[in-house]
Amino acid sequence: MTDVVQTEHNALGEPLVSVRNLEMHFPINDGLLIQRQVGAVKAVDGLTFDIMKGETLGLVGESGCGKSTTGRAILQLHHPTGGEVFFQGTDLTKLHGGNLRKMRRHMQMIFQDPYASLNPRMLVGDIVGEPLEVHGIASGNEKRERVQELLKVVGLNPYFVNRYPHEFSGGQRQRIGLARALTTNPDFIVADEPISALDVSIQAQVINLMEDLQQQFDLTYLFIAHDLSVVRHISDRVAVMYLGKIVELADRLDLYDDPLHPYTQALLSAIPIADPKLEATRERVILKGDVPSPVNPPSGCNFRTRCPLAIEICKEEEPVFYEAKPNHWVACHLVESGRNKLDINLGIS
Amino acid sequence: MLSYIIRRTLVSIPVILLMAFVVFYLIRQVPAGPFDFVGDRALPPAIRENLEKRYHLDWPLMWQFTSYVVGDDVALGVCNVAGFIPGCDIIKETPEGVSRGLIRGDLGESMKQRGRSINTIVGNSFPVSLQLGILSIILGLLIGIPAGVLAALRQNSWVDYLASFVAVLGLSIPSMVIGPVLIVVFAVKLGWLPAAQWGAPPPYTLGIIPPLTWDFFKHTIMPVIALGTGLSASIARLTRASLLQVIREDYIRTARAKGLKERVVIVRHALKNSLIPVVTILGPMVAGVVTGTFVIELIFAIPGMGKYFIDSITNRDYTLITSVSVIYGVLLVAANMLVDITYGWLDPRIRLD
Repeated sequence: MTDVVQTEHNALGEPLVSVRNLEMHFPINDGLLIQRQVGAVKAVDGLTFDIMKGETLGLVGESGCGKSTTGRAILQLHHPTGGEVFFQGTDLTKLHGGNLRKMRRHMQMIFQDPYASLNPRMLVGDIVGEPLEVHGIASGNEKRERVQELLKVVGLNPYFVNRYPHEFSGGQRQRIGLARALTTNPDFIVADEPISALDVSIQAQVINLMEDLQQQFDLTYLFIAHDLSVVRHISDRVAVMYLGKIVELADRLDLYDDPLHPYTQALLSAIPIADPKLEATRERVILKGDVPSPVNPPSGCNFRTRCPLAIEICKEEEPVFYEAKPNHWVACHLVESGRNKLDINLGIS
Repeated sequence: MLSYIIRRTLVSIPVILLMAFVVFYLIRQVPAGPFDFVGDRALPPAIRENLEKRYHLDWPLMWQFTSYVVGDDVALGVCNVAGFIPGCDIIKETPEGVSRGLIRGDLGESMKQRGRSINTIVGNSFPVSLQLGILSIILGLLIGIPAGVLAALRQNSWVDYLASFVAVLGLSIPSMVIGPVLIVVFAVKLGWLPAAQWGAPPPYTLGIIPPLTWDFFKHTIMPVIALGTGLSASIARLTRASLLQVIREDYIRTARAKGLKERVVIVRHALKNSLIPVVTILGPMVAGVVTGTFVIELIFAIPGMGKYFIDSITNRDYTLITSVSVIYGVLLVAANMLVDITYGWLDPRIRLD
């Protein structure tokens, strides 16, 4: 595995974050007096990918497939049950306590719900400025100036420092969340569905702001979303997750033009097209059934229970995640034989 | 803030008057009156009639209440000006009044402990109940909040189960059991603490602050423990439930992502947000406890107000029960106002204006 990853580096530059076999299994305990582990929710089950310096990696998948858990596990907000996460060469999973806290200034997170992610009883200035004091970067007047500067950067009035979060709209709150994430001048930001709680008109503003900030501060994003058109807009590369595993990872254009995995094809068929002529020709694949339970995933390929193309081998063998085309990774038995394409018109010209 | 307090106070005056009237009316509808018996013997009718006259029980009910609120002289004055109002003929015959009225701070005269004003009775007993109540609440908070926090942070561990077990135990063992057990152990067997009485008699500094001597505290330890453990149990349960909810919030994850120490995350970000339900029950809890807990005061022979609360009902001491109820009402209103002001501090989304 290591040497294939190596080739990837050469093509795309230095990795900032390297995830290796990341596993996040939540135990299910049962028992009347003595608790025993009777199973595990395999929310994230063996992920391996790199996030390159300066890029935006989109992570898509349906609800409950483990996207958010992946983001949190990378930042060690959940302690992963297996695998490694290298950040600039340091294995985060081996860090604890103070050492881990020191690393946190380099990696931050933006949360989905701007209404829940800001402490309702703290002033905006304190919310944004708190990390400065914690990490000993600035305090007093210096802190205040830096906070006001950050608010200006995210397009808010610097005088908002003395207000409480409830006095702001959803879009403004998400801007506060961005300012907060930027406080410590991080290199890496995990954006966990940062726009899905916002109005459509505000979504574009926040997306554009995030792109500007990326330029300005040389940021690397892991952008988690379920909105495929937003991901296409903002990402450099896109990873598709299904039931705790990455099924496909490719350059954004490559993925949208030539999706290899049947699941990716089904997902893409759900994107409406703004052009009515093309939209009329678009066909949708409606996947049958529900996502299987991550407690007891299917044998072989996770997706085979819903895959219209599944054959015998999909039941028996777990497909390997491999580089099918240059910089285009996929985990599907059918790709090599060329039988991986669903017979549909995605309407992509 | 000041205008809020003034407005709240003005609004609560009719509430308290209405409550006073309901109590005033209902206690008079209960069979038997204050002057039916002295001990086991019935009073001669003539004496009884005289006594009832002295306390204006022969007046129409509305006039009795009017005089209780504004004073006899005002009632008489009204009748002198407008004698056509029904009932005025009786009032004009009354030579002297005993009530100066609530509005002048006079709670009336006790019907059973004749000659003693309720102001004196309450003035001597209320500070004692207040001291006992406040110390118990403090103990309840000192045990309850840390226990609740610990249980929430170690959810489903043995610490949590132990805290829950002790809390249920504390809630289900009544203070009338804990009290005597404490007396048997620490007063009778070990002889460390006095079994009864209150260490410092009134008057107190500023009316309520006792001398902070060992003599005072050694008398308070056991009743405060007996009363405080039950309070701490419900505070702990509430703190645990509330904190469990808060530590699952996104902004707690945000705080962790900032790189804060776990202690800071809990104390600065989680605890204050989870205190609202605790503060909510604290209001009525304070009002209930400081007006005297009959059982504890009885067990430890504490000269507090709880005794008068119960005695006044069984004795049909009309003025005493009405006045004690008014005090309870005022405290409840004040405690709830304090709770609302605290909300504003705990949660900036709640604005008081």
